[in-house]
Amino acid sequence: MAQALQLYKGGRSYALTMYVSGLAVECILRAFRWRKEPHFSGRHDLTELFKSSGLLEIEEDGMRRKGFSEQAIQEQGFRLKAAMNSIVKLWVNNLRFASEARLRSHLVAMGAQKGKRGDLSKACALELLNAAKAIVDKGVALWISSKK
Amino acid sequence: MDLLEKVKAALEQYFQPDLLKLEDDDGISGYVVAQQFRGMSSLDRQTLIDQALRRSKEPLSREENRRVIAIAGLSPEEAIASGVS
Repeated sequence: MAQALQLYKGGRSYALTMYVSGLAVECILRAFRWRKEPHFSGRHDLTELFKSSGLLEIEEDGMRRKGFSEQAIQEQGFRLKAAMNSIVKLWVNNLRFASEARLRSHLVAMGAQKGKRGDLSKACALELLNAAKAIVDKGVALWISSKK
Repeated sequence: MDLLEKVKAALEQYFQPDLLKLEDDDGISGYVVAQQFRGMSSLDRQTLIDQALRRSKEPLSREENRRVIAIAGLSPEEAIASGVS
């Protein structure tokens, strides 16, 4: 995620920012998935990978053990699901091959310019970066706490 | 009616989606592709999906709700661009 942020701040590589952000999400979800089944290969389907990683259940169970209210647990689940929705919407594996011009035409084709002002690629890169950070930060925190 | 059928029925009724692609394998995940998601934030999309499940003719129990892990709401154009449809 630090590298994705560096790319974003550089201001010239939004396609690669988006690719690296999504890749970081895939890596953390696969780490959780591999812990359950070391020989898992799977597809680049992040929705399925999010489910099979068990990350959401681990987070919710942890919050229950700490005495959080059901409403707080639901709200946290909701935030993670919304982050995943942004990631699934914006990330495709072949972004790694995309020029900035190709990224922009891809975003226009998917209607991403609606309701956005200014640099469309920058706005979408930031949305994906923030969403990926939410998932990766949560995953890393859960991974570390599970090792203690 | 099993959980997958209940979720499908709720989303079909609420969105009349262009595509509904769900699977139940240790929890439900997948995509609902509908025009309502055009230009909408991800938080609003999840709110709408949540509403669809709560306002269903066959509402989900709390336990069933917990088994709905990840349903992404996409517009038809996003679905094409991301290779879902």
